[in-house]
Amino acid sequence: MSVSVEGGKGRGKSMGVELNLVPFIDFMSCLIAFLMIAAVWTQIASLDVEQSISNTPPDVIEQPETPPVPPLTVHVKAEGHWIGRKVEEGIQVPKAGETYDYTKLEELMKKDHETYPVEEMVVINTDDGVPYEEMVKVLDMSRTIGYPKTLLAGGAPSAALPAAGAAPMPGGG
Amino acid sequence: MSAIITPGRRPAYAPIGRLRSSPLSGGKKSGFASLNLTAMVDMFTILVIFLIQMFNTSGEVTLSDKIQVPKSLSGALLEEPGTVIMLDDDGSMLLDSETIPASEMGTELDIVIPGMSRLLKERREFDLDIKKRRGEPADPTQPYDGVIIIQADIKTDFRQVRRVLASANDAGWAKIKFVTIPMKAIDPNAPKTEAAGG
Repeated sequence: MSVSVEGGKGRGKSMGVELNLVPFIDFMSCLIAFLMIAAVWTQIASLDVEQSISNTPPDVIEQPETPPVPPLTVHVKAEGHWIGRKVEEGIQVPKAGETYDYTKLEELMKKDHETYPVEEMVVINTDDGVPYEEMVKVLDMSRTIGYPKTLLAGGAPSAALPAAGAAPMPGGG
Repeated sequence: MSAIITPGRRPAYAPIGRLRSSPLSGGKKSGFASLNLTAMVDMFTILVIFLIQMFNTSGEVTLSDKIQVPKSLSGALLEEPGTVIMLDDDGSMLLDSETIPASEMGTELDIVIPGMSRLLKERREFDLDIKKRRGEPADPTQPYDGVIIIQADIKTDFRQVRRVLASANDAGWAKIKFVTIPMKAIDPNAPKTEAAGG
């Protein structure tokens, strides 16, 4: 790059000033190399859960006039899912071969959401020994369908029904 | 019948032509050739701006090659920095690249991992102490606002995740984020969904 400067008194005296771009290009090259290494090319998402930290309970607990609707519970077991709001009304969703039947589970969750559109809570009770991915799939499905609140529970594998066998973690999850 | 037009000299040939006809060189070729760097500098500038934007979007979390995280449809873009806990499928755990001593892992029957709970309590107290010195004391009626980012392998036994959650709860950490790979591109400007409670 050159800059032409007109000078002198009436005479066309030109001075060619060369701007040294070499250090600038060196700096840019180093910066690009560093940023390409440091940049994260994969988008990372997160599913957020807020635990309720066990504080001192309130002195007076207000009793609702009508009994609250029990939350929707999804029990993730080694042999399949169990879904329901009450023990006696729960539905078993056995595995389809080696994999969990998420099509059926999604159908049942959507049906429940249509029946109880105001309810926001889902209890996901995952047995020990079940891969973490299966819990995340149920959590993701519940958020997609429209349940923004989640209570995570877990414990030793048990054949007992979720309402009886669920062992919520301290303070929930 | 159209006339054949001979194109003139292209601008790129001009310096070479000038070199050949230079009165100073006395007919000899000079070794100097001016290179137009403007386009290259422009490209570098745009590239740097683009890379700086990429650098800023994903916060402090980077994915480990050893850990295959699950995929999600409803996950929000992870921007908020926090304490990263990595869980491998073989049961090993790292808290911000810090290994938890085997002596403090507890037994399989323990719900809380003593070492993790201790480290998280130390971090929480350290953070609260800094905020207090800055003149921003924590509200005792509100839970601690620190974030735990769990980056676990898909094959990890849920028991390990449960123990981590219990340890976090024991140390007073409320906000948990499970790292996932989005199945569709997330718009960073999209309105965020309501934070989960429970």
